[in-house]
Amino acid sequence: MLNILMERLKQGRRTLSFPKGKPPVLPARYRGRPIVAGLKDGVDLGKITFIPDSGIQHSNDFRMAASRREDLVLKGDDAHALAHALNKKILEMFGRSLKLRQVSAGGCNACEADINVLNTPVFDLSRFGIQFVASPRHADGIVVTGPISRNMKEALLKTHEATPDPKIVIAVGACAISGGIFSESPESSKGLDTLLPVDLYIPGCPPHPLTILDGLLRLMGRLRKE
Amino acid sequence: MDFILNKALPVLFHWGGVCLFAPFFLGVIARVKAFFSGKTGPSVFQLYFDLAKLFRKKCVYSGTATWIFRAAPAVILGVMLTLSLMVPFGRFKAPVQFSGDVLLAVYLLAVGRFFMILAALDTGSSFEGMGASREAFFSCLSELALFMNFIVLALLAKSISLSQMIGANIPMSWGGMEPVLLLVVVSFFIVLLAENCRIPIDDPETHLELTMIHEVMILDHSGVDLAFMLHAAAMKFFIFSGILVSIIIPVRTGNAVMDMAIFFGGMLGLAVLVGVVESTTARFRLNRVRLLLLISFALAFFGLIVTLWRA
Amino acid sequence: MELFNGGNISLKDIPVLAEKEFREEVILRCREDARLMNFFGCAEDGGDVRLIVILGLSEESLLRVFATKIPAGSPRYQSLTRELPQAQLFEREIAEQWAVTPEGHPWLKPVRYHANYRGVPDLWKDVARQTIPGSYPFYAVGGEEVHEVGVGPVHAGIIEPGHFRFQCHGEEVLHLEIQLGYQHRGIEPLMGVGKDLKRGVLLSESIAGDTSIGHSTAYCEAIESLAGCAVPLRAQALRAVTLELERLANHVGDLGALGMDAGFLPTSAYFGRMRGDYLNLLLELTGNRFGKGLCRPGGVLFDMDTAMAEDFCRKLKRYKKEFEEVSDLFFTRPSVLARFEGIGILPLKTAKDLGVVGPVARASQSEQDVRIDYSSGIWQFYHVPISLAATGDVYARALVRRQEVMRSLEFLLKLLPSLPKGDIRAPLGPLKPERLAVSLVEGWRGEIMHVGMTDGQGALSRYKIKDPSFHNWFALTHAMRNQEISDFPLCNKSFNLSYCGHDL
Repeated sequence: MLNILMERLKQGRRTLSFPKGKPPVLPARYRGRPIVAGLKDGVDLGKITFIPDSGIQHSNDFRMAASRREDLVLKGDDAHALAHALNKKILEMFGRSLKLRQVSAGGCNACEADINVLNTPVFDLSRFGIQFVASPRHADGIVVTGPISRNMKEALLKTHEATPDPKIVIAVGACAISGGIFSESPESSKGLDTLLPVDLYIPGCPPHPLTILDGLLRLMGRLRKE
Repeated sequence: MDFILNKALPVLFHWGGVCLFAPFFLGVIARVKAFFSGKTGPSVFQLYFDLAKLFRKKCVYSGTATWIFRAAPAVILGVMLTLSLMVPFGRFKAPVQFSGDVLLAVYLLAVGRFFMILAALDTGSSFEGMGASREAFFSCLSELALFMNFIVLALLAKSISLSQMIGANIPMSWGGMEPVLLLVVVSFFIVLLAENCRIPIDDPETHLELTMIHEVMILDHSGVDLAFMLHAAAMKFFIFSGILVSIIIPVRTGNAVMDMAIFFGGMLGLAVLVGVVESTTARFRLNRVRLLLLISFALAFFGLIVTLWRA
Repeated sequence: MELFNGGNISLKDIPVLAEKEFREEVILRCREDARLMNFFGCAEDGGDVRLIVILGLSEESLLRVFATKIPAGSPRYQSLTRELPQAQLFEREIAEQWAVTPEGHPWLKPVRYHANYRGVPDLWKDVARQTIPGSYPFYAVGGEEVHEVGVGPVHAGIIEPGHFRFQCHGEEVLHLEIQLGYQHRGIEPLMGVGKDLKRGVLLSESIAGDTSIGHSTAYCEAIESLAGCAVPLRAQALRAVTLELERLANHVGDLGALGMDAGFLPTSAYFGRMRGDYLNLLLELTGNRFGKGLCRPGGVLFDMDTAMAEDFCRKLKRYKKEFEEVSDLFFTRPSVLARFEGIGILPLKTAKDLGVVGPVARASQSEQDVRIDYSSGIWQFYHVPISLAATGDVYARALVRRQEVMRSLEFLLKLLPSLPKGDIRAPLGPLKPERLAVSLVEGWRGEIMHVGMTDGQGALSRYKIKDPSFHNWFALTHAMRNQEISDFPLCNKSFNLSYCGHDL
């Protein structure tokens, strides 16, 4: 008992101060939002998998979540419509208490792992009133990862049905947004929005936990719009 | 007028107090657990926000659920509200007191539990059924321990009214019968952990369906039903803590504000203690839980023997 | 026909035996000292199917390859499973992919629920169309007091989908059956055809996101072998560094998750945070927390200068000390030990019979480690001692993980100050035609094997992926026999197998 207390005092509190204060800076090689100025064709954040040898330059900015699919397609100038908060009525309800149900629909487990990490001390989702729950009946929304394999489609739709209204749908990762690198396979879909209406898109492969956290906080109106 | 002042107002105060303060203490436990994990944790008022939101959500019912499933949350909430009237909190006397009310209290708990188990079975889900059968089994043991504790307290107070047992006569008992009361306190603490779904008996935040006991039984409720269940659970913890704190700190300074402050301080301390216990032990395997509950019974039984011998 | 890890042979040199001879050869060799490492089918002209077997002889570090031919007109052969249980899933996979019946197979059920590759009627009616579990024939135990519990595919936590069917008597599990296939994305067909090697490596990184480095290294090594490309030693060293970082992150994460599942919260939070530290090292080196984007055929894309290597060494020394302290706290806790000891025992004989690999095998005293048995590349110069445990229970599997973390840290602290100098990438030529290459990597879950075959034009014609979970899922069902159902999450977590690695 005593050594638990000692260990706790030694470990200290490692929670990031984000969103208060300056946003954290990620390592130099991190591939964040693409730099589109000067590129002839635009870049679709929902399709790319953020690889180093794609010919696209990436900045260090981890803020990429968007509320509409169109907002993920970056063209010409670097202006990027980041996710905006939910409409007022829903925000009133979910502003301080958002329970989410995670559905893994054929993902490679990287997105799931990065979502799991949000519950650890460094990111600590619970301080915002956001929690992942065990049952869709307890949830206010579903968070979907993976390209929605044929074998998981029905389970996903049933889970969505079991979530009480009003509810939201969040797509995390390139696979959930557009099918990612599996989009050509007959065994996977071409994106979550072909099946359900999506309220928040979080691009990445996998998205850094800060991108996911940033997206969720924007959805809840906790971050000022920029 | 007389009726309102003497009867209705105390009842309303009691209900108001329990309903208002119950979610706070569960928030304290969550905060303590978060501290031990190195996190900031949710706000202590998080459960209030959750309940406010749940009251505005729709309910989703499975096709196989019958009226039992829909009625259960209201029954359970009703049980807790009634129970709260029989328990004195600090200086506030219980509005309902009569000889034998402790039996009514225990049976009310049993009615609540009965409906919870039936509702879980009603969903037709196999692991809710498993949770229900575990709950039924463990409650046999925990009720045994609970009864034994009450018998000891009744013998000490020479009365079978809850208010007499834990209100008036405790200070005297601490004067001469400390060993017995210590045994009762430890035994009751274990029962409190068991009845309120705390580690080491049950993990309220586990995400593993196959190990759930209490949590699995609320898995299918949504919206207002879920709000009722969560609030009832908070009130149950408040009631059990209230009883335990009244036994441990039976201070009567005479000053109303002082008394209330001491009572709430005790409740807060108990919530912190539960949080610490939850953070420093692993959850027991189910057959060890059996042993733990039997130990709780044995402690209370030993207390009974000492009481009878001394008397 | 024999080859070493990372070698390749001409397709013509693979001996094709008659069915009876083939069967005897496999069974005989495996009874002696060989292990069935791969058994798969590939298309031949005219609708025939060639079944290829790769046996592993760990004493000599050799792989033995031979084949048999199944004619299109009579797509069946005598099953090996009754004599050789480790073949069971391979045969089911062949049955599903090629509609070839293994006659006498005692457990012939679908694996991933998809249509076969030959375009002929599937072995199971409607296997590609029904919603699983559908009419999957679960093994049922009779009796009035026996009840069935089905869990999944959507589980209460944040975890991949799978269906678990328990036959229970009260709290005791009489039989557990695991049915997967929910995450089947059809990777093998996407990868195995054509010349697009870039897409292939991206797919390999996403076979199982937590084993990105493991699978992408295996893919790159197979392609490099087929192209006859000599990868610079520095690139191989960097691949090994990231492979070990991946192993560290996952093992530490597992220990945290085990603590959480046992209800012991403090160490699970600390281990979880420490896992983040290793992932951040990968992020610094490769720009991605899982190492996606590092390995490419020919070498690696990112280098590490002296400053970064020194920084890593400093951090790893600190992490090592932290890990020792927290794991001491964890492993000496009586309430934790009470949950771990004697639970989910996998006896050595069962582990060997089922062909179990990885830390699970090592925890049952089965000595297997690709870095030692089939060492190639940088592993020929650095030796990481094998981590074994004796009891085969949840505690042993946790202990093996702890030992492997310590050994990986020691390895990294030795390697980083003395990385071989040179380039990090060599040019990749065209793939040689009509060849078969094999690559083995010791991923953190165990042995990963990739087999690539080229056609006459030097394009890939068949690519076979084997994740270590392919061997181990069945062992989990054995470890759960006669255990309490509430111990299942701990057992499952102590194995920590990949759903998507199995489902491809």
